[in-house]
Amino acid sequence: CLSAPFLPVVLRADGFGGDPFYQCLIAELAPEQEDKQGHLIGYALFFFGYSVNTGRIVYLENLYVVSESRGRGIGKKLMSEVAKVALARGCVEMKFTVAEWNVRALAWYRQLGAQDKTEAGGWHCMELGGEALHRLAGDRR
Amino acid sequence: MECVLRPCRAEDCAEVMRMIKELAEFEKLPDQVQISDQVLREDGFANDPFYRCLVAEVPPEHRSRDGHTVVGYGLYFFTYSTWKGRNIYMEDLYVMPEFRGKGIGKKLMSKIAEIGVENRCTQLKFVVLDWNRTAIDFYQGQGAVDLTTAEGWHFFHIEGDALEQLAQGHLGH
Repeated sequence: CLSAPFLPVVLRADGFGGDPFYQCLIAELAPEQEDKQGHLIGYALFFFGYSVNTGRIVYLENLYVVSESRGRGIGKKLMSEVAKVALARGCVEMKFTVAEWNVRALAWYRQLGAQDKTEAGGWHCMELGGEALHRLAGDRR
Repeated sequence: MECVLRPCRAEDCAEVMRMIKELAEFEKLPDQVQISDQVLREDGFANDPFYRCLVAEVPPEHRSRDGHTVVGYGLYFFTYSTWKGRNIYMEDLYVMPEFRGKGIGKKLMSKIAEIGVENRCTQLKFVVLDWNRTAIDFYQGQGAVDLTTAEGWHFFHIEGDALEQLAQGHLGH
């Protein structure tokens, strides 16, 4: 299902308020290559979490490079920077999800050493939201 | 039977660790547990905790055959979706076998959902093994959607040496 476009004000409050829910690294073009659309060309949004198996983990929620800047190692550099931040915080594992139809992304992540735990171990991603979440929470509204 | 849910305290970590191992045995993955109760304590009760945990406790007169009064737990943390904002991730939900069928699991999950709603989270997320039909049926009965089956999402990880090499920029081209 489609969600409403995410408001910048919410992103700002949730990332830069008293208790940030995420961190974000951005890839920026150096000034001499600046184009008229601005110079942000990619980002990696992540947060810290926990695995009862391995302990501290980092979860990579989004990795994106604008199409005209791909093929230059920027995505890999962003991943590498997230890995550095993660290791500095004592994390031993990075987790993320990829859609199975995104064959290029699957191959790209695999060549960086990623393993598909759904394919290998039968792990399924589950989500409970909307009415069902409120019902479970015992929300009387 | 009276069962109380309360936030895990540092001194509960040994009990939670016991149950983490029990759950791993059930999942047929006992060798994957690499942390200790000491690590659990450091990561959950320092300045910047990596997780939160609820425990289910029964009164002493209803303790387990082995003498435990902490009989279940739900371990969770807050996450983020660039589409939907704040989420809550349920890493583990477990009730000891002899205490199942009494609604304790649902009570734990419900409390985590309540904490999520109080904190403006819009989704409760978790993973489940494809052979665990009882769990899948329970979760779908609560309204959960299997995103792997429905939309083809696969869960990936990078760990150990591969993570170190990624940090150093040695993998890939």
